Amino acid sequence: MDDAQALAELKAADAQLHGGAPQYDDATHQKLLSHYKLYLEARAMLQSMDLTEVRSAQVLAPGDAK
Amino acid sequence: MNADSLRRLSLIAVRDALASGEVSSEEVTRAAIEQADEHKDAYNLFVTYTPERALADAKAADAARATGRPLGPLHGVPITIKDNIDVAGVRTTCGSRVFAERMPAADATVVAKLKAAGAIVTLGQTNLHEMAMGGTSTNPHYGAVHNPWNFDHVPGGSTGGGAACLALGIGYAAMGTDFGGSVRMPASFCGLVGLKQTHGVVSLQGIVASSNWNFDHIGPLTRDVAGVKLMLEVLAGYDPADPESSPRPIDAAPATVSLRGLRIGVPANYFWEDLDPQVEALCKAAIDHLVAGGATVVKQDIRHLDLFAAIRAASGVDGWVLHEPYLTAHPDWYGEDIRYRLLASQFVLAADYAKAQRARRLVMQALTDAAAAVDVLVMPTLPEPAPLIKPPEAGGSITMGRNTHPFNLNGLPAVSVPIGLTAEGLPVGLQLVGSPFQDYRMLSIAAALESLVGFDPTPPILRQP
Repeated sequence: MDDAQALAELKAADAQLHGGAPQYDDATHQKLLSHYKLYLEARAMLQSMDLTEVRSAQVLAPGDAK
Repeated sequence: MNADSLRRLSLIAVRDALASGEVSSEEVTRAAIEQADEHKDAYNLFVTYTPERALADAKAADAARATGRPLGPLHGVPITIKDNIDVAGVRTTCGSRVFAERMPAADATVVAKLKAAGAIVTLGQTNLHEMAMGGTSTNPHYGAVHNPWNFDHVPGGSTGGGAACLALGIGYAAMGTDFGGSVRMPASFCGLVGLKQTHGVVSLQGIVASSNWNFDHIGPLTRDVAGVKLMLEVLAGYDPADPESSPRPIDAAPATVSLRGLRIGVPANYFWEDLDPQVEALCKAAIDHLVAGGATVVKQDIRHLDLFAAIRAASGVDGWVLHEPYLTAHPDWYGEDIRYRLLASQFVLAADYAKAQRARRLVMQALTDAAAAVDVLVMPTLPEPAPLIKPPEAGGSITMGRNTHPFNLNGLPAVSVPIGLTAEGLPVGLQLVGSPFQDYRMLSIAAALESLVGFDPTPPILRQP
């Protein structure tokens, strides 16, 4: 995804989260962009993954050891 | 023994020297204070420095020893504490402006345990990456910590101040925390041993949390493997004040182990990709040492590790939830590095966060199965040697915790052992990973590696006349 498209998505997400109008200005959006792009890459990967083989209670998790 | 010699002792050696009466706690504490006085400002070692308290505690320790009463295993040993672990009555800021005046009323459980063992824990609260959320320790509020092996390079983080102190001969152990590698990374960059034990074995009560997710651990750094083992013996134990604490003790293991017949798991994917050539060569040479000692290498393909970056990105919203009240009220109190990382995390959708949790399960299964198939997994602690210090707003490379953070997902024990120096004189560490509650067995194998490699943890600055 290129920067322009990611920036548009970021501004839309900002507006949606904050009652219809973005909370942050353009300069702040630029500072947020690299981090938001990492999230968009994560989202694409998470949406494409197969989660059906997750099993439960067979592995150590924080708390499982009690 | 002169002060220079005192400062180079291992934790075990200083414990024994104190027990035999060869040295006093006041002597070793004064040696640490003299070194701290000389270097603390240039290296930005401490957020809060309290040498007068340490000296008073050392004198009290010597007086207690003179009575002939039974003493703890760390009696009179000065140990530094990271500035996100509470020490009663000592300012604990988590390296932040937000908590700049925070004064804990009570000790963290680990600090109470160290005090009960006789340690001197009042030398100071060591500098760290702001909010313990990064791998450089280039702190915008308390200065950039420098690496004792090369002043222009980072010491790693977030326990950078503790690692730099220890490498400079200030104290005999450093208490750190490890959310994504924050003990193991500075250990690797500073030529030290750093331990993140099985999750739940050491209480987390009394640390300033980095997130709501249960990635956090408290762990020690020392100059050798025997040192972290002694620290673990002191620190381990169930704590009802910590809901994640486990009542199960660490499985017993012999202090020494024969390498003959041991199965060394070497992941064929992810952990050994995109490495600095010198890091790769040093780590492969260390594995050759293990093989020469009789161990067998087992190549392993570990599934699902490509999901790790996505898990990490989506989990950022947990940090946002934790910091939202402070960040909303005082955004300018946060350095740019973590301010924009946290602000961006508020846009993570709930469905993506939930998927990340399921993805985390997949990675946990895969890593736990891989560790169970061998005696120990090995890989470079970090993909690169310590980078140059950059301005705080530059942050750290997102790949820095690539090889350490996965083991915070599932709580497996992991230790970084120094194995050599690059041509530029920067230390490199190898990470060993064990199965749950096999911490002592993992450390026995680490000790065998340490003796084969023969790394000297003394940086050039301590060798100068």
